Amino acid sequence: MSAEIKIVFTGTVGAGKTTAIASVSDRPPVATDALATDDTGALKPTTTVALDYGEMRLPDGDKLRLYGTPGQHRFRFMWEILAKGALGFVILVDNTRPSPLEDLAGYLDNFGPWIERSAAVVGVTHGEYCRGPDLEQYHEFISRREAAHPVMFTDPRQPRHVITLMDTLLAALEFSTASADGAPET
Amino acid sequence: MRQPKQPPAISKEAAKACDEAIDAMLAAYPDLHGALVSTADGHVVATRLPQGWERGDVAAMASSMTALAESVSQRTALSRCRNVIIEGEGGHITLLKVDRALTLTAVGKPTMNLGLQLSACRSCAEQICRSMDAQADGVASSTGSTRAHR
Repeated sequence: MSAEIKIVFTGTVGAGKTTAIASVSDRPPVATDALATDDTGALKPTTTVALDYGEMRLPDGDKLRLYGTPGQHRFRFMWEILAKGALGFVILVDNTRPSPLEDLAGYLDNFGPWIERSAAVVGVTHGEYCRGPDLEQYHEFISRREAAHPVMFTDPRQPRHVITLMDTLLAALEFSTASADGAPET
Repeated sequence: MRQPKQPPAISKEAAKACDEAIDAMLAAYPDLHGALVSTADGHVVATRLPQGWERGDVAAMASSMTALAESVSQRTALSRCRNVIIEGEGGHITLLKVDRALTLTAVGKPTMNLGLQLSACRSCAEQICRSMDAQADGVASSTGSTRAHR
């Protein structure tokens, strides 16, 4: 019997969450864009204010339900609504922002309780050639938090990049499930 | 009362027009708890909500609710969403798009008739649009430019 797996895409404003879901969704994605009236307008004319939703069928028949969160903190109530029942998180970080590692920390903190029970993968967007942190710095940063989330550069416009992110996430999920199964009882 | 910081895309004059329109609505309909005008992306523009209500949260949630309602409405072939109605045990909340950039949220007491509340909100939204049109006309005539705020 095929399963349905809920994946949540979150991350900074303009990191590419809506684009990533649209890249791989088998059906026209649901988007809730509104005119950006603040600094976001300098990045893009509209911004997600409730959620994005898309679906992706896997070769084995399982279905991924892909939810995107708004990036801004004022929509935090949507983060909590969307995180419920999620089996995995894709955190997209815009590497051109002033403090991408702090941005990442914010999302890891906010989604921490849910990520602890599932898995997360970090996608670094907007260029591996900019002056932002490199992958090693991301790995070090995550290790200092005593976590082991996979990190990779990604282009949300490229379906194969987004699929790689999700393959990695599913592998991390399997690993965390296997680890939990094999863990000695305390 | 401290005035909310205006989002850059909303002029002080537009915010003043919103203030005046919701003041007039609340004066005419005492069975409304309060009202708020917010941008489509969830910033407060003008607010007359009872003390202790978190207006920033209300503005962001109004933005999410209207965007979701618009999506549902279009996906179910109902075309554009005219308004959103939340029926609580203690009254109704109505959300109405003023224009592409602004949303009007009104909170009614249990004694407020829903039809009356919607009618009051439509009138308030029209008043805001008229004021903003008049302001745009004034700017256009002083600069010789054409307007297209909606």
